[in-house]
Amino acid sequence: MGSPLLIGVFPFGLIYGAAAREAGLSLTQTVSMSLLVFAGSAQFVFVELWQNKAAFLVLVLTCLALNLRLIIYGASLSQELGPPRGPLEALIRSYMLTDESYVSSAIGFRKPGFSSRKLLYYLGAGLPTWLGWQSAGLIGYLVGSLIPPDWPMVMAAPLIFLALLISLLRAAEPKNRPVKCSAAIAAGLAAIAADNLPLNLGLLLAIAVGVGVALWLEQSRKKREDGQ
Amino acid sequence: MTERYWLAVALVAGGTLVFRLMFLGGRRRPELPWLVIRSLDYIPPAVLAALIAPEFLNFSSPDPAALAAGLTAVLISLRFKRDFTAIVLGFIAYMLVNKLFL
Repeated sequence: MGSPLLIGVFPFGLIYGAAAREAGLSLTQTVSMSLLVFAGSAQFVFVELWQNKAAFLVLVLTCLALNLRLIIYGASLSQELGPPRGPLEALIRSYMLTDESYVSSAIGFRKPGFSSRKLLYYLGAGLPTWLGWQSAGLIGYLVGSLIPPDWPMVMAAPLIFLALLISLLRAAEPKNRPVKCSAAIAAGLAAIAADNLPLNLGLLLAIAVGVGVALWLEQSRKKREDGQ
Repeated sequence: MTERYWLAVALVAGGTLVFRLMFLGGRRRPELPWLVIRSLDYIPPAVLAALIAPEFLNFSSPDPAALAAGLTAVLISLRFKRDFTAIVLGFIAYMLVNKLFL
């Protein structure tokens, strides 16, 4: 089951490496970020905002905001895995937490007849993801100079984020999907409206607007349901 | 410039590790308020949408090629559920519109 994961992250890793090179990062910087952060979408955002010379805090906060979802994954996964048996296991299983390892474990654990040890299954998803991401980033950086100069690499990051967004909305529970879509639409519109604010501050503002609208919609749905 | 880079990487890496460790790292599970848990769920779609919306739809410097790329990627992704295909075709749409019309 590991090989689809390895293959799945590979193309994105290649583009990450190439984009990092384009943004003027060194090979060491590019690879270190993959090793230390190990979270694809946040790394893309980092490279994109670094290249756009966004304000330092905007860059850090946006990347962290994107990774907040790992808390949810961890909360859900810890129910399945139980407490760690030692600090090393705690560290390794935490470091291996990604969209890919979480989603494939969450699906795998629910398959009828699941019998392997859950931790091994989870790490069996995490390790190929890790290998694929690390090697693809390195290769992408090295072969990045072969990309024809007239290819619009500026579109790579937005298109990747767009595909991520759609797959995220697709994976949402049907009950929750409209609210998540509203969060995205509200944040998008706010970002377009606030695009001219200095230091990419519009980004943080737009995120707040999106989340605020979603919470408000959720509250009013709850009230409606309680009223019935 | 490079100090700034390493500091940013350290902060993002450190914060991300804290998020990962929060539930998986120990025996005790932190109790987060319901409202916090709910907002965490909405942050990723909001972040991604806020990042990309001005790239595809920008009224101060309109770019039909970018809009075409975005629409293509959305339609392919919704219809065929193939993310990488959607990205590649979006990319191609961008180049085509640029070559043909601009």
